[in-house]
Order: sequence, then C-alpha cells, then structure tokens
Amino acid sequence: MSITSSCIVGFFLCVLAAAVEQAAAPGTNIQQAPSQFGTVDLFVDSAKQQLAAWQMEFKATAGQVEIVGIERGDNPDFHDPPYYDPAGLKSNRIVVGAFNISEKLPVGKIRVARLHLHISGAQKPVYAVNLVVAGDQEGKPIAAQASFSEGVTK
Amino acid sequence: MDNTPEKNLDQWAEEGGPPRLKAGLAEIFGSAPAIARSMDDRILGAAREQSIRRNRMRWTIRYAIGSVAAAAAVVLIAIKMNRHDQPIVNDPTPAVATAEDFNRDGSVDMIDAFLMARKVAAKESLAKEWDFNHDGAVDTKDVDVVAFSAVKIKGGDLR
Repeated sequence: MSITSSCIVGFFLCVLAAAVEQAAAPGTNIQQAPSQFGTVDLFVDSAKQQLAAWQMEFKATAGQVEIVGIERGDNPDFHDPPYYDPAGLKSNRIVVGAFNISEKLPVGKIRVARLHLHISGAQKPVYAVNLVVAGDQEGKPIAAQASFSEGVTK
Repeated sequence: MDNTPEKNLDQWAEEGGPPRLKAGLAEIFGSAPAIARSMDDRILGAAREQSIRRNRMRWTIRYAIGSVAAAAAVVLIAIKMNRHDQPIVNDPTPAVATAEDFNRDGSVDMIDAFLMARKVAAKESLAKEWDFNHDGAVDTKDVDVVAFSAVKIKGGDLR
C-alpha cells in the first residue's frame, strides 16, 4: 500500500468516525435542548428631546439565541422597519437603526423595534443593548437611553 | 563443450560459470576457500532478518505518515467548516471618515443618514460624490446606502 493509499484510507476512517459522532449527537440534542421562539422589544428614551435618529446594538450575551426577524416599533412616526444588516440574522447580535425627517418627532420612551428570536438550549438567555447614537431634529447627538424588555416566549 | 552462451546458459548456472572463465579466475586468484554450509545458512538468515526488519519499519512509517496526514486533513476541514459559525462581532464606529460621514464626526451612523435624507427631501444642492449607488442621481436610494452602511456588522464588541 502506498503513502497516498494510506492517506486516503485514514481520511475516510476519520470522516466515518466524525459522521457517526455527528449522527449520534442530534438525537441527544433534541431530547435535552428545548427550542422556543421569543421577542425582545427595544426602546429609546430621549427624555424631553425630540428623537429624529437612533441606532443601537443588540446582543445575546448568554444562551443559544438566533435573531430571526425584525419589525418596526409602535411609534407611527417611525413607520418603516429599522435598517439592519441581514448578516446579523441567524446570529446573536445585530445593529439596528432608523431616522425620521418629519416635523412631528417623538419624545420620551418609545418602542423603536421588536426582535424575534429563536432560543434553543436549556440556558436562560441574557441580553445587552448599547445605544450607538441618537440625534435630534437638527442632527445633533443627544443623550438618550437604550433599553429592552423580553416578550412572551412560545 | 560448446562455448556458445545461448546454448550453455543453464548448464553454466548450475556449475557456477563457464569452465574457461572459472579456470582463468582460478589461475589468477587461486582456488576459492571452502565455506561451511552452516555459515552460509547463518549469513542468509541474518540477511533475511534484516530485510524483514527494514520492511516492517518501512510499513510503520508509511502508516504513520498516512494517519497523520489524514488527521491533519480532517482537522483542516473541521476548522474550515466551523469558521462561518463564529459569532459575528460589530464595531459601530469606524475611525475613517468617508463621503458618507456627513457630519464629519469620524463614523458613519444613522445621524449621517438622517442629515442626507433631509437634504434630499429639501432638494438642496446635492454633491455628486453622494451618488453612492452610482445610478447618476442623488436620491433616497443613496440615503439607504448610508443607512445600511451605518448598521453594517463589521467587527468589535459592545461598548
């Protein structure tokens, strides 16, 4: 048997071993790791200032979480879903943001987006948000607070 | 005896060579010393043993190289397959200012998109360099380019 033949035989043995191991794994995962869907609402609180633009980063810092969808918040002035990078879907972190050039701008705490999540595994997920920027009607950065609240999990 | 090589080859092989050659060699070097049969067998046995050891070593090296190469190939494939599963990280503040950085604060964010959207909506003078999608017009599609650039996942971590 030549060296090349030995390599090929060894390679196939290793692949076979890996395939057997992977085939055994899903069965145990299905039993041990429950899968569910949930939502997280994102909020921006601009206090008394008008909110014309916002951008924040969301991340699941613990647990097996995939972001599977994004929808707009409940403020009619931000009527479109926020901008996001589609590459963030199917991962545990994403950057979302939106702006509004209308005259009537919201103030105070508003829900700006809702994230739909796929949660798997027994570990309870932990989330974090970071406000990247918030701006007023003049395009000036303003001090605002980002927060989130977990919705119903099914 | 015929000295034609083709005819006497088998006979010479049995006798240990052509008679004239043997006679000539004996004349030059004298008669060959007699070697005992047991000594012959010992030398042959030792040669065979060494040959077997050498072959065994050769096979061991071949299998070892094969196994190591196969394991390395599997590890490389596994690394390659798992690379896309790595969590994507984000750095929302690129340090380099670009044409998309409207307020020239060193980062492209949603405020830049807002400022550009206001200019587009007001039909103010719009610089050609803002035609980010290169369609010949500066409009809301270019605003989208800035907005998507702001939320693009690049690298880094939550601050």
